[in-house]
Parts: sequence; C-alpha cells; structure tokens
Amino acid sequence: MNTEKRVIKPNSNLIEGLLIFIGTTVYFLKALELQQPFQDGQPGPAFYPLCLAAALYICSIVLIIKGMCLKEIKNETVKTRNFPFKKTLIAIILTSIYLWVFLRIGFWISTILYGTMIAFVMEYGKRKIYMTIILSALIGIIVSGAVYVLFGTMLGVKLP
Amino acid sequence: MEQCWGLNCLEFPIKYLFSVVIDCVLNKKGVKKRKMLTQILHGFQILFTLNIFIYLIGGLLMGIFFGSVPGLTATLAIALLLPFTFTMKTIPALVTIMGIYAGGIFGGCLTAITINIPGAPASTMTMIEGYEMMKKGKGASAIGHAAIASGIGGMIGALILMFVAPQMMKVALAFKSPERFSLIVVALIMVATVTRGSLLKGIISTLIGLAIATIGLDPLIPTPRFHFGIPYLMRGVGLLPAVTGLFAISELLRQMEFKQWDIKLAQKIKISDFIPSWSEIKKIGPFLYLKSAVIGNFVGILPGGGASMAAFMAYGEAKRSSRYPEKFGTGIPEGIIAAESANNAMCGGALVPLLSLGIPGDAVTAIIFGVLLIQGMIPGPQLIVEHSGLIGTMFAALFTAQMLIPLVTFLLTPVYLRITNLNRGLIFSFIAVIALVGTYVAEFSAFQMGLAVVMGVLAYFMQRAGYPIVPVLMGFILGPYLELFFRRSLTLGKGVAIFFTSPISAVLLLLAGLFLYILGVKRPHLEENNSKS
Repeated sequence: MNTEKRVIKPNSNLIEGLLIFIGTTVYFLKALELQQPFQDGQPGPAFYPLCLAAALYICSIVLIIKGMCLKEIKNETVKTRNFPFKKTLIAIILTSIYLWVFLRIGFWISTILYGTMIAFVMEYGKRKIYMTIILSALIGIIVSGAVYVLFGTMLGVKLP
Repeated sequence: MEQCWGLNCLEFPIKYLFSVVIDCVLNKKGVKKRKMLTQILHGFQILFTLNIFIYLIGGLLMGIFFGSVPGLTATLAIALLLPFTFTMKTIPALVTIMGIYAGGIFGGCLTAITINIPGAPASTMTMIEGYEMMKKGKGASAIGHAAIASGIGGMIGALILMFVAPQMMKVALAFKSPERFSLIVVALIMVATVTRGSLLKGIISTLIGLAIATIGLDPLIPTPRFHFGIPYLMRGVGLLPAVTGLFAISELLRQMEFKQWDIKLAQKIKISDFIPSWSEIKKIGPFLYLKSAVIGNFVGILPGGGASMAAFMAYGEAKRSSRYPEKFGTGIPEGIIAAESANNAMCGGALVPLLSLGIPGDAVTAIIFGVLLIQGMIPGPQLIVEHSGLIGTMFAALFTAQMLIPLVTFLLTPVYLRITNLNRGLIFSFIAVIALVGTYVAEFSAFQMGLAVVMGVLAYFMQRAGYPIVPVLMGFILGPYLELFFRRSLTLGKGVAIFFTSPISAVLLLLAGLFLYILGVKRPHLEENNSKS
C-alpha cells in the first residue's frame, strides 16, 4: 500500500485558486438572485454576501497568480505514497451509507454495523483478518451500547 | 437529571464555609460594589454541592483524557458535549465545560512527556523539556512539575478573570454597532494571521466561515438566502453540525491515515514520584509561576492567542531571563513550569473577551459561545449583569478545576497512560457515532447529520491543503454579528465614514491593519530569514 512511486505533483495553488473561484462564482450568482444590494439607500440582504464574494474573488485570483508564477513546481517530480487517503475515502462512503440507513433500519443495526466497519477499517492490517473482524464486531456492539446508554437511557432521548 | 442522582441531600461542608463568607461580605457596607464577588462566592457554594461537583470532576477527567490522547483535543471534547447541553441544565453544562477546558489544556503534557507526542498542540513546549527529563528517568517528576504549574497558573488565570471581566464589561458598554463591527474585524484578522500556515489561506478560511454563516435567514430582513431550493437550509447551518463536522468528523477522517500510537512506560510509577522535592521548587521560586501565568493570561485575552502561543511566549521569556539559558532544551523543570503555567492561565484570559465583549478568541471559547446561546444567554456586556449568578459559578468552576489538576494527576496518571493506549478503532468509532447521533438528537433531523458530514469532509480536505479550520469556525460564529453590525452601522452612519469617525472604531481598525502587517506580512519574512540563517 505504501509503495513509493514517482508522480508529478500538481500545482496546488492553481487548483485551489480555481476551485475557490468556481465556488465563489456560484455564491455570487446566488447572491445576485436576492433583492437589490441597496434598498431605499440601506444595505439589503444581498449586500454583505456580495462583499464577501468580492473578497473571495480577490483571494482566489491571488492564489491563481501565485500558482502560475511558481512554474518550477509544475515540472517537479516528487516521491509520494500511493493514494494515501484510501481509508479516509472508505470512511466517507461508510458514513454516508450510515446516514442513509440510520432512519430506515433503526439505530441498533445501523450503528453496530457502522461502528464495526469503522473499527475494521482502522484496525485493518494490524493483526490476522479473523481477529480483526471479531475485535471490530465487539467494538461495534460496545460503541452502540455506550451511545444508547448516554442518549437513550441517561438523557431519555428516543432513538429511531 | 440532577434529581435522578438522588444526592441533593449530600453537600460538602465547604458549601457552608462559603455561606459564612458571603454573610460576612453582605453584612459590610458597599454591597453593590461587591456584587460580583458575592456572586462568585455563591458560585463556589453551588459548585460544592455534590450533584454539581460531580459534573466538574467528570469534565476534568474527560478533558484530561481527551487532552492526553494524540489527535483528541479539548475542543473536540467540548464539541462532543455540545449535543448533551441541549438537555442539560445551564449550571451543570457550564461547570462540565470548565472542567473539560482546564483538563484538556493540561492533559496534552502527559503524552508529550512520556512518548514525545504532544496530546494537544499547547504541550509542544512542554515536550521539549519533559521528554528529555523522561529519558533521564525523571518522567514522573516532569509530570509532577507540569501538574503543579498548570494548577498554579490556571488558578492565577481564573483569579485575573474574576477581577478583569467585570471591569471589561464596563468598557464594553461604550461599544456600539461600529465599534463592535471593528472589534470583530480585529478578532477575525488576528485568528486568521496567527494560525499556522499562510496568511492568504487563513483569510480564505475565515471568508469561507463567513460565507457559510450567510446561509439561512437574513439577520435584519426575514429573507432566506443560499438555500439552493432545500427547505431545511432555510434555517441555516446549525452550530452543532458545524462544530461536530469541523472537529469530530474531520478528525476521524484524518486519523484514518495514521497508525496506532504506542505508549509504554519504562518503569512502574508511585504517587510519591510525581511530587517534586521542596528544595527544587524553592530553587525555582514563585516568580516564574507568576510571570508565566500573567504572560499566558494576557495572550489568552488577545483574540487568536491560544494556549500554544501562550506556552511559546512564556517559555521564551523563561529562557531569556534564566541564569542558565543554555540548559533549556536539555530537560529542566523551569521550561515545563513556564509552558504549563502559561497555557493553563490562558483559559481565564480567553474567557475575558468572550464574557465581556461577546467575542470568542479561539475554537474552545467559540464553542462555549455556542453553548451560552443554547442556554439562552447572549455573550456580551449585559451577560454578567443579567446572569451574574451563573457566571459566578462558571468562574468558581474554572478556578476549582485548575486547583484539582495536581491532585487528579498524582492519583490517576498511571491509569490515564494506560487508557490513552486504548484501541484506536474503539476511540474513533465511539467519536464518530457520538458525533453523528448527537447531531441527530439535537433536532431529530437526519439532514443535520448530513450537514455535519459535509462540513467534516470540507474541513478534512481544507486541512490537507493547509487551510486552518479554527478561522472557519470563528467566521461561522461571528459572521451573523459581523453582518448585523456592519449593515446597522452603514444605515446609521449613511456610509463607511462612521467606522473612522468613531475614535474607538478607528483605533480598532488601525490595530487590525497593524496586526495584518506585523503578523501576516512582516513575521513570515522574519521566519524565512531566521530559517536561512
């Protein structure tokens, strides 16, 4: 997983600048859909967001210019790990699935499965696979039980 | 909840001691002038009721645990507590938070000293001396020095808070909309410039936080903004999804990249090993504790100051004024004392602008700001007047939590060091579930859970790209106020001139510019030159 290979590092300033520029444009266009910035000589709901959009545009342009000026980075080759945030991506997917099933299948099953899967991803590769599965399942049950005691029993909240 | 403890009848004798003191205070003339003092004494009286005191101990233990585990912080602990505060009564909520705050700042030193990994960023300076002492076989003594210094520094910080906050409140009454706007600008600029990384990225983070805060209803005219056709977004992004997303979910995602830490103690530790010898304390003298605490407290008052900067400045000053500066870095208790005394004294300082001006200076106080709002209290000049009883209890809780740090350390450090080596899968599964379920139960809305995940993913990728997260939270929390005061001032003053015709506002904006120049433009050049040389 940690095999080192040579890849070209993208110019992060340029990419970030462009992403912020695009995001700001969406924000700016939505702000324009609001009422006029000034109404009866007083600043309206669109005024402040437009000021923010202007500031964000300036920052994104500065980032883009910085990215374009640092040309040497474009051709630089660096050693990096092969996709270091694979586990993170799995965690994002698992969390999204948990949100989707939480109300549908209820607290207990969804939380035990989610807790187990998160623990499995974190513990993966540290011991034999069957041991990891057993440990993760135990963690899932313990975590679900503890959270139920905190919210369901102590605070009296009704969980789905 | 208090009822179910069934402990109302059990009260500490200390409570009665305070009632005697209060009677003495009230029986003398000038009661009005001593109103705050009376409220603080009442606060102690309430605090030493067993069913309240238990929250302080719980918070303190939780804070030390979160502070000592690398990757977990006091901010995260308070963020996870946030959903519970919806159902908790005000005093238990505030008392627990004060315990977490004090414990969380101190807890970082345990792993900093024992395994050379600071549990919290504030303990980085402690690590320099502490780990060297650990290697010499004086680890327990280093922890003992850190605990005593944290306790003394924290108590001094809390005392300064008790005296300064009411005075600052009087000053704050002179602040109207333009002055408040300028003050928020100063706070945001300081947080953006002081946080690690480039100035530009700090400013962008702040602007992103401010932009997120504009989602929902306009603060002056009831017009929904930026809801993208989603009815749930018309109410805006809630504090809870924002805080849990920014600190809990993003941390879970970040920790997925790291391997298990391993804490092993070389030898068995006895309680007596933690207690430094009297001759050693005498040699160091009380001045170092006091000086470092005052520095830490002052740094805490400045928006964006934070515990790390407090420790760094106090350590630097201790080294500068030492008779043997060359020994710093080789494992001497003076370095630990300076850093720990300052970072715990910072807690009291950071609460001053929050309680008197309504301006949080760092992530923890920003979340406390949210807790106060949840409890129906608006931080600002009127807070101490309207809720003096609650604030008095809060002050008492902070002071007592700091006082208890050495005792808890001496008794429980060996246990803590074992707990911090708990399975990471267990810790982070628990954090993920409690953050998500906590967000759900606050409003019984799965949409809020989704928002927390979106905020967490955003924060994770921002952190990866070097964008600090604290300015996002500060922008998010202060955004509505910034807009409100900005637009109100423009309406009242018929233009931007009002920000410069008001002397306080003009001075504050000048300060903001100065900070921007010194911390954002000048400092990187100095650091670059230093690193070259």
